Amino acid sequence: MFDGRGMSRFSSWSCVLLLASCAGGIGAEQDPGGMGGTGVPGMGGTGGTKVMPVAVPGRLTLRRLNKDEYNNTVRDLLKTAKQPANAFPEDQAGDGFDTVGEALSFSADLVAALEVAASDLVDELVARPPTDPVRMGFLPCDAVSARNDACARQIITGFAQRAFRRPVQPDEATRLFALWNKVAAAPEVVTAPQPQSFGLKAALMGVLMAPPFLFHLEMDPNPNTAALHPLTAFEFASRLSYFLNATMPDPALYAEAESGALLRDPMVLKKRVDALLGNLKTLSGNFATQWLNFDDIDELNGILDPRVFPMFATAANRNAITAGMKSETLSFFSSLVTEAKPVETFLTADYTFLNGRLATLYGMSAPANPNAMTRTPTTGTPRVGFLTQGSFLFGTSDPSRGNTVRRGAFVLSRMMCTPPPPPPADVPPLEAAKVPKNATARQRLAVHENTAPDCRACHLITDMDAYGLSFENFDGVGAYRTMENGSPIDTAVTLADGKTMLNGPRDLTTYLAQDGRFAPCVTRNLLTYGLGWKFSADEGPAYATWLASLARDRGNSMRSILDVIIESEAFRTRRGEAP
Amino acid sequence: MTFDPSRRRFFRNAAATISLPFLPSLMPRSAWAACPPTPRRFLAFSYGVGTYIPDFTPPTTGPNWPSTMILDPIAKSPQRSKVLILTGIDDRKLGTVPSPAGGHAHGAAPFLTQVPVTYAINDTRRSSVDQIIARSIATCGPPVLSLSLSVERIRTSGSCDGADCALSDSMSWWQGAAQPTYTTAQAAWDQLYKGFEPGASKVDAERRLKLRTSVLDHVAGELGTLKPKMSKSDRDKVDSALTSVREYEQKLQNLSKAKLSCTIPARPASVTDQRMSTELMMELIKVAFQCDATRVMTFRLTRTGSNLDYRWLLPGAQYTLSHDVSHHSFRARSPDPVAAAKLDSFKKISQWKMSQLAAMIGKLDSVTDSDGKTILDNTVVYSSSEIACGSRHSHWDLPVVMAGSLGGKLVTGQHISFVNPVPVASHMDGNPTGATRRTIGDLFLSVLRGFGVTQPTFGDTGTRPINEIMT
Repeated sequence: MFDGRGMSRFSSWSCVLLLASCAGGIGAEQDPGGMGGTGVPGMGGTGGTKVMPVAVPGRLTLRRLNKDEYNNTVRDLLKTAKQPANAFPEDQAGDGFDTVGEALSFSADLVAALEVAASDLVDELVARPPTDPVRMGFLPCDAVSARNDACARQIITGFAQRAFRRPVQPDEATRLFALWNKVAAAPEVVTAPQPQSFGLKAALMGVLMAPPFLFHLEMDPNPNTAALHPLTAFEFASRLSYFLNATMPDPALYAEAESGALLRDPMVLKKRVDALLGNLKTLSGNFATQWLNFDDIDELNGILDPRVFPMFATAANRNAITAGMKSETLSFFSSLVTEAKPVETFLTADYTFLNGRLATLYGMSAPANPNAMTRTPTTGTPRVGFLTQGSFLFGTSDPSRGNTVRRGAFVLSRMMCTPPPPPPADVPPLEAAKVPKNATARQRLAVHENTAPDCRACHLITDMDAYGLSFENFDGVGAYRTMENGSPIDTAVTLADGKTMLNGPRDLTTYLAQDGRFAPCVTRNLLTYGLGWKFSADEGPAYATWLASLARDRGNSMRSILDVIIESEAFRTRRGEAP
Repeated sequence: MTFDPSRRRFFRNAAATISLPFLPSLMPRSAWAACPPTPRRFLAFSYGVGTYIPDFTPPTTGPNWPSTMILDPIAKSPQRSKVLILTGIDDRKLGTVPSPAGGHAHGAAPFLTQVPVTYAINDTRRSSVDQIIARSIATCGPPVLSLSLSVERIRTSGSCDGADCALSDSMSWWQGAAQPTYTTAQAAWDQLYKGFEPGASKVDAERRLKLRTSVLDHVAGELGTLKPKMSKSDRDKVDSALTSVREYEQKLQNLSKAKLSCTIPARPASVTDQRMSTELMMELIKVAFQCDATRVMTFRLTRTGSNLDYRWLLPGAQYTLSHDVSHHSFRARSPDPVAAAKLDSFKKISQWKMSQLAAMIGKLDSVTDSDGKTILDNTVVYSSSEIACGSRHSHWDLPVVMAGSLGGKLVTGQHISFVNPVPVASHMDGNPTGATRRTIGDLFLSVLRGFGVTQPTFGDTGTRPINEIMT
């Protein structure tokens, strides 16, 4: 992405200004002790003896289903293979995730696409054979060959209840019934062979375009006050289901919401979370891909310089290798959700997932079945954890080489949630005269920082360069190397504290795993994704740090972070807004 | 496709001739201009990473402005007399807003809105000039209010120069809602021409239309029922959905009356190559105006902060990535060979962008409008970038090129500078000076006047229209 790709060009005249923000930004986000405590005890079982340092900050803005959620929801509602949202306009992301209500927009084009989708989905349902279970479920009686009000009401109520993820209100049903009758009795329609079929279609389309279907609709009993109030069981069930599976609650979850057991009985909730996490495809595919900037992989894929990386010369090879890189990281992420390892294992793991192509690229032996992503130990190899996987090493590169500074910036922003400020403008290129011929990245950076000494603020105080240099043994596509431009590679670095000396990814990831920023950062990203919570506007980071500290006491695994989030007050309440 | 005015015909089928029930209008019509007898059109033509101002800005003003290296394709084009170059016009007020975002996002968010990146993404003040224009002529006929195109794909996750990607990559906004951007000519064609039912009989079409409008009315009613039960932010979201439903209803109503002044063009081929896609989109823009399928379009030739590879344009050059070479650095314009090589690439890329603008303007001037003038004559094209100078991320002396007089409402055939002497080198050292500088917001107020839309201010920068560019 261009913001990172400009990162290596720092100028002295503007770096002076950045010194303060580089130093201040990290201190502010790192230190949960700095947040004033309100003494409000935690709710929902996360409490123990700890006291919540900040009240749940901010509020969630009404958000619509995004494209993935729409596709998954109609798949589960109607058992359709259609993916109507593929034809919708692109979603908008806020804080890096496509679940943030402030950013997700409506437009006339979206309404048009929603109307086409609703029409097609209803047509498909009605065209199913009479014995089809989906059809029998939603159309249990005949309200089409002749007017049959009781049957029409039954169809409307049943379909709307399932589609709305909560019981249908009597007035909602009444208005849908009125829509049915209005259309069936319209002068244009009444002459049709089966006017009631038009009424049926209108009512079902009305459900599929209604706000409780299209939005994550959570109501505030007192919309103009900011006091927290608990979600209803149905609202909570929906949050849970969309968080973990990006789709509507399945019938079992819905039944537990209906009976009240979901909110009442922690064991019921735990079993339900276990079941929902049985399918990690959406959590990894939707959350991890956005958290880890997989977009950048596709972006680079299109402009990679084939003269430098012949393995990537053909589009078929490029696409296969980058698909493998993504798959490696997603399998790895999923393994961490499933296995009760400390969350920092994401950085320090001694295993990864490889297929034959990736093994070749990495210089490792291919798995028995080269076509399957196979769990492979990395003990005794230069690889350790996510930060030596191709998705990171490749995704942060320039078209012709790895970008040392951008790798460091990625670690700071995505792993630690302490991003450096955007690079300033008008940074001079490295003056050719001062750069030795065939210089290594380390030598180039040294020239840069010596020619523009005040740029050290962001490059050195944040340890951005040191983090980046730790990965110099990996080239722009993630292959291992020991030489760069004919010189041996040196990955030894000293951090800004003047004491910590590291040499290579193993040292660095061990250090980062103990640094205390990673778990709160994962928590924060999961909160933004799961709740659609735009953190930048409030004190969310402190709250995320607090939740991460609770998770630490419960095993400190990815799963314990998910559990703590789900049990948190933030996940179980909402608030209105003082006018 | 050739255009034969004598063979104008209705392309719409039976469905098109049905009269719709009157739907509640989008907005009080009295607030807007009456529909002009000949269409008036707006095209925003945007490209990323700025330009090289010293080789862009003509050193003198007036009708005989001398060509510069980068503006040469415009200066030498047959449409030169229909072009207006503006110098001394800024986002400067926005440039002074402290921002956590980088220079590109800082300039992209206000590009057509003049609302800073720092405002909440869903701030209802975030409306772009193209959308204001489109809504002022919503009842004038064209079924599609407006359409946004981008050759490069837009980003939907991650951070774009320190800002939400929607702020960086979406040009068109209406009251805090990003309007869709289409990144293939095919998808754009579908928005303009698809959705008709050539095979349907009139009676079938009438029934279907009744069903659609009834469902939409129902949805609007449900949204309205929710509103009083919601807090302000949520109500704004519901309002945005409600507005979208109404606008879609208006589109259906327009479709029922619309006549295209051409036959539907063939659906474009699916291409991924940057240059082929550019050509298809520019042709699609021309034909859409010619057919009166829409009157308002925005086009991103290249994306905010674009880092496309121009190896094809720069054979043998060492530095060919667009954003990379834009950081050629003024401070290092001394004899440093890397800086010099990057600057050389950047200037050539910048010139290529102007050749594309010249081609777009030429296309619009090649088609006769219903009043005998050209499409370009009845259009105003606004072209600029999210920053002025690629290397310094400056928000002053933006490289504004306009074309077309909007049916005689706007001045053309000039280089007008609001600063004397022309600030050719304003980006090389220091910051801009001069109390006579104008803002992009002022410019948009003038353009809006040309469309008959009078509003007192525009975004955070527009306070008074620019008389010098109005006839």
